[in-house]
Amino acid sequence: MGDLAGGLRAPLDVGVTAVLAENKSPMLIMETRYDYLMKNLPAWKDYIRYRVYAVIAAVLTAILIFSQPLLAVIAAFLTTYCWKMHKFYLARTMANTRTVMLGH
Amino acid sequence: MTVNVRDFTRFMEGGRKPVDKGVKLKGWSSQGARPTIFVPMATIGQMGENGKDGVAKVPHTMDVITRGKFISRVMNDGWKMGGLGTSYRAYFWGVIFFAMTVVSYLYIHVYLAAVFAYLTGYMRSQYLMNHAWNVEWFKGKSLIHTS
Repeated sequence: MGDLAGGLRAPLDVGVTAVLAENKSPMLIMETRYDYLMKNLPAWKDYIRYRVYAVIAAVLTAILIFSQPLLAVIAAFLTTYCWKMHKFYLARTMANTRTVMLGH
Repeated sequence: MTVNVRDFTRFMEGGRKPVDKGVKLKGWSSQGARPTIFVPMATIGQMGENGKDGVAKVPHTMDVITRGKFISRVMNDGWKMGGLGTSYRAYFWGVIFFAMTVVSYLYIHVYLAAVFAYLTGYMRSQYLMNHAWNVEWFKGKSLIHTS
């Protein structure tokens, strides 16, 4: 879209302002640290849990691969699945870069 | 001083003096229901200014960090630093040491049971301390995050 006469960018500015004004939820939410932690605690527990599942499935894969190859394939699938879920919950909790502001 | 804006406006227009209702702090729950953050409009420090000890001054009163940093700090499981993770660990080892206390008292010797009883009480105290500082204490502390 080219500039208007006189170099004004009025349509673009109006558009951005409209998005801000029509936002249904507030941009910033203030609550307690406890409530925020309790919201993220289930994801943190899943982050730990899927790591344990992945290790158990990897050990099962190594055990079953010589005796029960078909079961070993399922265990190998579960290993990768649980590891990716572990990485997913890691990104939601410990490696998350969303900003929080702590009051004293 | 906590005064309703409407009452204050009427006072400025010549009405009666508003009553200071104050902030009700009956407990953690009532404080946590309306958390506040004090942000002064003017600060003495400047961005990038160092203090006398050489450490950079923080020009704002809020700690602006990431969610990952916040959760890592709270869920820390080190024994020296302490955290909610330490609370989980202390609870786990408390149960283990309590079982070892009973087993050693019944089948080995009462002196060995005393050692495990001490360790059980130590883990119980660790659990209580970390739970108090990282769970109960944060029930009244405010946090702002993006939606």
